[in-house]
Amino acid sequence: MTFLYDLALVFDAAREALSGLAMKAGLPWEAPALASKIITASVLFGFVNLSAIFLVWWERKISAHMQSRLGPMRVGWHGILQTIADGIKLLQKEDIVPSEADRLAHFLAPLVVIVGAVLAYVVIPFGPRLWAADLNVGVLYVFAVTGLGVIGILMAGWGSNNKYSLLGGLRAAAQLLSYEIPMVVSVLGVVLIAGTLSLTKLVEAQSRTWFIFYQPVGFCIFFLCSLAEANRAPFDLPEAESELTGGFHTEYSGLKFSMFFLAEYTAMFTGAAMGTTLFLGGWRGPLLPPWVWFLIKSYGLIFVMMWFRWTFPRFRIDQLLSFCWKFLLPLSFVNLLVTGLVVLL
Amino acid sequence: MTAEGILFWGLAVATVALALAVVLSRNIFHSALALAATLGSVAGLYLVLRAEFVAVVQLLIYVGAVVTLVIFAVMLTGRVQETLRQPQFNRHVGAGGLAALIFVALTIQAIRATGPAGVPGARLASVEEIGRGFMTEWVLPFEVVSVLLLAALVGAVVIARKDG
Amino acid sequence: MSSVFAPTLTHYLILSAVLFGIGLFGVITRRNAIGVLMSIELLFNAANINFVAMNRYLAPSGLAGQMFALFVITVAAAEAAVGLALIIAIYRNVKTAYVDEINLLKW
Repeated sequence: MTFLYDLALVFDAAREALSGLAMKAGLPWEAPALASKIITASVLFGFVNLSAIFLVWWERKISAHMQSRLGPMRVGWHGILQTIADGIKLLQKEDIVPSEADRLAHFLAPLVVIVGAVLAYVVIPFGPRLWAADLNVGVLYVFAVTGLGVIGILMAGWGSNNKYSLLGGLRAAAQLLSYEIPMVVSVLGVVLIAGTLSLTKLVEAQSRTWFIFYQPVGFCIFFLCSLAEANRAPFDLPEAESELTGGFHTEYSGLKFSMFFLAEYTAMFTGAAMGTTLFLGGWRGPLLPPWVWFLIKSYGLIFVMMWFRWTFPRFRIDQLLSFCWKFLLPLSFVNLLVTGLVVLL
Repeated sequence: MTAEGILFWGLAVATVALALAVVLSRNIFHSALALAATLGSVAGLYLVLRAEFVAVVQLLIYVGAVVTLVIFAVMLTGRVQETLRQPQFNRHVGAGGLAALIFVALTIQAIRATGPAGVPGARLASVEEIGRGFMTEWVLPFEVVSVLLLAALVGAVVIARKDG
Repeated sequence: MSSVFAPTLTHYLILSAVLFGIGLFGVITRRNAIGVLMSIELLFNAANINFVAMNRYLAPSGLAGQMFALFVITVAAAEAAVGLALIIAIYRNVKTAYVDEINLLKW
């Protein structure tokens, strides 16, 4: 039963089996290591996507209870299969492409957005050995991959041949690009303290205290920026139904729309997972298996994100951008400066 | 048939094909998308060369920022289909000839001046060493580049601002 | 070269030469000014591949190639920003982004 505690043992067993097979087949020594990395990454991606499906249901339940109603109750126990029912409904919808749309951009946009959202999980450690790759530059890699989603949103906005989509796409791109900067600068404080960019080593560096106690301001800035990066309220103007009839995903139906939808929840999970790894000690915790701690902390942050959505009104685009450039960015620089001084002295 | 070989050839073919899409595509938005993909595959090549920091910076800055800027500019300057007014045949042939000439010259130099095969699996300088380099040996270009970025930032905002 | 298949320095230099040639073709041929800028980015990338490949194969313990590549990326980003701002400003006045139509200096 120890594999329940350290899920990485399952991957070790898979690697051993693959090595055995490779020896017999005469493949070079690199093949099983590469294959085991790919398998680990695929399992983590699959888990994240399943998690996104669960999160859709969870959000509906949380928002319902916050609004004194019940939410989905019919499909399965307390409506837990509701998302699957919605997914089946979306899958069998007709795929409508606008007549003058740029077909290549319209087709590829959901792909780019979901790939950009999911690729970040290659480096996030779910447990002491439960990660796909330990990049030397893990933190920067996650931010680089989040930037890929911006291009997908621009493609969706432009390729739909619809002025609401275009406006939504441009606003979303402006918002995502602007909020990337305070996010990176706030994380730099943590990097200064730990002295490494690798996510696994950052978790190991939190063995005595979590970084949130050293960097409370940094954590708040990072949390707000990850909300903005996931296009979540109160920063969800680009896709607000009451403002832009759906923004950049107006002209999408069926499977493509569900890609955008899932990508948003995946991005939310990425923000929460990064916040957990960088500030809340990752998988550290007594008694329970490490991956359970990781999930508890991540889902806790996601709960707070959902709480924000159903509590605060939406920002206007100019309020949003001036909040970023005139408040969060100088604040994050001050945070970095103070952290640097403290680390130095 | 090593992993490095397969990755190199795959990425090299992808880079060349996508670069051709950038320069030959009639639709400028498609060119911009092909540019994003080209820069992404070049980042992959940097990873094959074990230069992780440069690869991630390439993705972060080139694909994340420069291509987004280019797409914004494409959206703000209207016409997307490149309409040929008069036949451009001469220009294409001349440009192709010049490009081929330069390619041949560079290739001859590359083949003649080939160095050692290099240490397989050599790990290049880590992020820590790069950071230390920025602060010690390369601090002057670092500071100059930061002034350059400030000038470019202010200049771009001033130039692109609407008058009045 | 032990085999044509395994990548050596020469392979990377030839790849960078191909990319440079394509970029040069694009700079001369594209009518849209933004297209010209994109081809210039290809030229920068060709040079960067050269830098990093030489770092890897000729001096793996040093870091001059990577540093140069990083500076080239930074300068290219700054140049793209200013260039695109110029193109947008020109478009506002002349209503075109095509380089052969921006010829107001000759009346």
